[in-house]
Amino acid sequence: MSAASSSVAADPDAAALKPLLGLIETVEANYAGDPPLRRDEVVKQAASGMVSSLDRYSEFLDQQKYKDLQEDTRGSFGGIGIEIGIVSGKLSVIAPIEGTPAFAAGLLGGDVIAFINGTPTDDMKIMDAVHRIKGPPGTKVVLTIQREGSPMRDVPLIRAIITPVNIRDTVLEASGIGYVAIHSFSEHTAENLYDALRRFKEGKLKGVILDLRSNPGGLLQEATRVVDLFLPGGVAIVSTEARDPAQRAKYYSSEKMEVPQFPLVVLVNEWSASGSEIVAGALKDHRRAIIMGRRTFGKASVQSITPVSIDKTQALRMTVARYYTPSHNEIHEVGIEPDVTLPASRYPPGMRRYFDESAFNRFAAEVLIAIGPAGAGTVWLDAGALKAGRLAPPGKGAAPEKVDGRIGVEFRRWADRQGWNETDEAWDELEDSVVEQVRIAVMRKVKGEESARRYAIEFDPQVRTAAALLTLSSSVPAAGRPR
Amino acid sequence: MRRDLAARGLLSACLLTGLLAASSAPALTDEELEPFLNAMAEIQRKYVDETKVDTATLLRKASEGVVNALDAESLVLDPAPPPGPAGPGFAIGVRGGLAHVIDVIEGGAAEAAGLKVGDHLLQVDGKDTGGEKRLEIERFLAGSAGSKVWLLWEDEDGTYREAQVERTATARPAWRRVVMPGAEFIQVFRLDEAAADQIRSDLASAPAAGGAVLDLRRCAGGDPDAAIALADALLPGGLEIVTGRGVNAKSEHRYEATRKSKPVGVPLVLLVGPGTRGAPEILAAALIHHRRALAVGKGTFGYAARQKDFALPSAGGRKLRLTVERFTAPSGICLTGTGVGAELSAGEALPRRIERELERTSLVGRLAERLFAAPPAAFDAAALQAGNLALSAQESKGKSVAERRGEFERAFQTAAEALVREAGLGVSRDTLEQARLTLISRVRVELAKRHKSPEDALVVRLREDPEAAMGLDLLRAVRRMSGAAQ
Repeated sequence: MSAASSSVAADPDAAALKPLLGLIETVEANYAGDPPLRRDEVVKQAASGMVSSLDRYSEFLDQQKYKDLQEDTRGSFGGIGIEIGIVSGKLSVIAPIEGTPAFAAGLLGGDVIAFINGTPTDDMKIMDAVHRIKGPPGTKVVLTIQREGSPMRDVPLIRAIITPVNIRDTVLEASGIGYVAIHSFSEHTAENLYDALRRFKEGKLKGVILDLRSNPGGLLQEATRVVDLFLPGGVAIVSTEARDPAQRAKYYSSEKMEVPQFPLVVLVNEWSASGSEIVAGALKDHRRAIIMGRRTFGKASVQSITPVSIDKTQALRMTVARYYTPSHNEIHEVGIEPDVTLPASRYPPGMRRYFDESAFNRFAAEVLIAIGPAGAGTVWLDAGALKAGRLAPPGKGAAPEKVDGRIGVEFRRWADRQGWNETDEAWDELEDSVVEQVRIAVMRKVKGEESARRYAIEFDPQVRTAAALLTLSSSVPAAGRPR
Repeated sequence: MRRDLAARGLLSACLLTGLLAASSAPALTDEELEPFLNAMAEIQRKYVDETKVDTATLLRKASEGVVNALDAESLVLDPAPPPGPAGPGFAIGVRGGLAHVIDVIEGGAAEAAGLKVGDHLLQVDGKDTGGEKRLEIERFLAGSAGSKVWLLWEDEDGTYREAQVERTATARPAWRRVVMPGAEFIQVFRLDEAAADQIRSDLASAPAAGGAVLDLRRCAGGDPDAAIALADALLPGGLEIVTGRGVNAKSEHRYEATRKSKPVGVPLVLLVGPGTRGAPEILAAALIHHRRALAVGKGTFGYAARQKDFALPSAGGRKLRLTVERFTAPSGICLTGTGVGAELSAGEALPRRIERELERTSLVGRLAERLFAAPPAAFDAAALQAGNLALSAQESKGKSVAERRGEFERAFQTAAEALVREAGLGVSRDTLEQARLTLISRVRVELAKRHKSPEDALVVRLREDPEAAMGLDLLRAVRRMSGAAQ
């Protein structure tokens, strides 16, 4: 199979192919299935079957899959700018993205999408809904929105170019630490990170947290560029090994202009994969960052995407290389062990149904309605503080922490009314997470999605631990080193 | 066999050559194969692991990809015989990629393990059934008698259950006649050509006044041609039996009943349910549509298609079994996915809560045992020894039928309550009241099973089976009405 393999494409081994061709022709001519299989579909299924024997990252991409994938990696597409999901069995808006047509039209998280261009969404699969909502920029889509307490209404939206946010940065208020989360590595990720680091420099921050949790990877090149920002010139970032010489490479950091440098903590978890592991692996090997969190996923392979049809609408995604960290550590199936392992940050299982039923958003909405626009009628929350996005007990002298206990009591009462009676034992386990989620939901209602996200980050125990480590280490040289 | 049918004039010669012969398609061109060939070349040149790219493996996987895209009845047949003749005692049907339990054999190991019709079989010896072909799953289940198989399934409440079950050989005939007073009662387990032929002659020779019950509830297979032949014998000429659709609209064929002097005229009741699958659904759909039979029970499984085996060149004797014809009922409904509905239902079963309580306490078995061992005075001790449950002569003396029935039920309730109390079974009085009639039936069946011959026990079981009883009642009513008309 060695010398002959290169000639297969030009002149396929007719004898070897014959059984497959016979099978395809027999199926096409005789199969009375529902739906019937057309010839091109049978060929596609043969290709899918062949590719499925390789590994789980290799896939034959038909027209639709290839199109979706191109959008995912291109970093932008035509759409209206909402995340959607199934909430309580109904297709719903999870959150609008700021600066998009959906945001401008006032769509909110929790809005139920009853129809898309007049088609009911009752039995619609989520991917089907996504395909109906997306489309060329400048074209129109009408969503029929049902919001709790309001009549159903049609919302016409003109599609625009949507660039999903793959990177978010903020400064943690409590600690003055910079925080950047990279959700996946796509075009411009490193550029956006560079901009964030510059902003942090202006703010004279003591350290930076790079959050790669649940980042599944993305473009290899972009991951190496991210590493490059943190390393001096000329050191190894990652190397790939492959059968195809074109895929064998060693990436080194570049000689470059000044990039702001900070003490760095990288947060990872069991869903940090591929590109995330390149970044964490290189920064760990060069001792440039402390890796915190959970052992990473362990996907150390590179896939290439090659169009295989004449019209370039079908493609093969296949694993062409494995990569190794600078110290040639095996990542495949092993993952990267953090320097500091943190407990898994999972919600207790009982939280699941509250999320599924959108309970926190609903509770927050009821609390805010109870308080009313005049700010009167509140018994357990300070209306003035609430307008500023803070939850505090009424009265000037009361300690803000006291409100946590009250949130718990009020939410549990409300949950009982919904018929979700929790035992005391179950409640003990849930209370902290519930209070946190109520706070986030109230923030979302009062100050919007962005503030809620920032609030959630501040509250995240792993982020807090990372920030504490950076704060502590920044104080060590000044305090501990003799002059 | 097809020749026989043709000789009977059922299938026209044109049909034989047109529909059933393997059609051939124009050969695939390089252009049509391009995406496949390019992908294969890319893999062989560049895929990271050299050990996975040999031509034979890739092409075998490609073939599997094609077969996996076909329905659950289309597959490549393994030339090796199945691993053994025994099984855990249940039948499955595959729909939507899920293996549905459609029949659980009475007294079998699966029944003892708590498997129920309507459950979803998820794993067999650790192998997932999801997306598998039906015959493949049946291969997992088969083995030698006495060997064990581990099952994982999901019950109707969504609870996962597992059990290690011993395989037993169950030799069920394709069909059997049960001698019931006043009517022919025919249980069909497999509607193949021989069975259809014998059932037809059996029905033809049955006294027209008596009528017949055709029990298709445990008939999960057979031959579409056999079903068509039996329907033909029962229907007047010219009526549509079923319509088959092949690979495209052009290959549609309407199967009609042949012109004949006199179709078999015996009044018919069909018993159907989720265990009725395939060929018997064709028969039921035709007879119900043309009002040739009444159907009692529940909706059928919903699958009717014809498969044909194709030789696969250079595949080591393996064959491709392919669905080549799908059937549409005379009502225009595609049988696959929809099935045939029963017109009459014998009522709801007990609530699951109560079923589980009866199961947990083995109440039926315990009651049968106790009544037999220590007959209460109200019951006829001699009858009990023969496996019958009846009021004693003393108790029934001078009482009307209604009074006797009341007396019988009271005596049964007393015996059941006494047992529950003494054995500390914790079954409430309410539950016993609600389940009383079902309990009486089941205890009768249990007593018959323990103390009667298998033939007699079967008669008792059918008499106590609400759907069978309803079928027999219907025939009795038909007899009375036709008698009144004469």
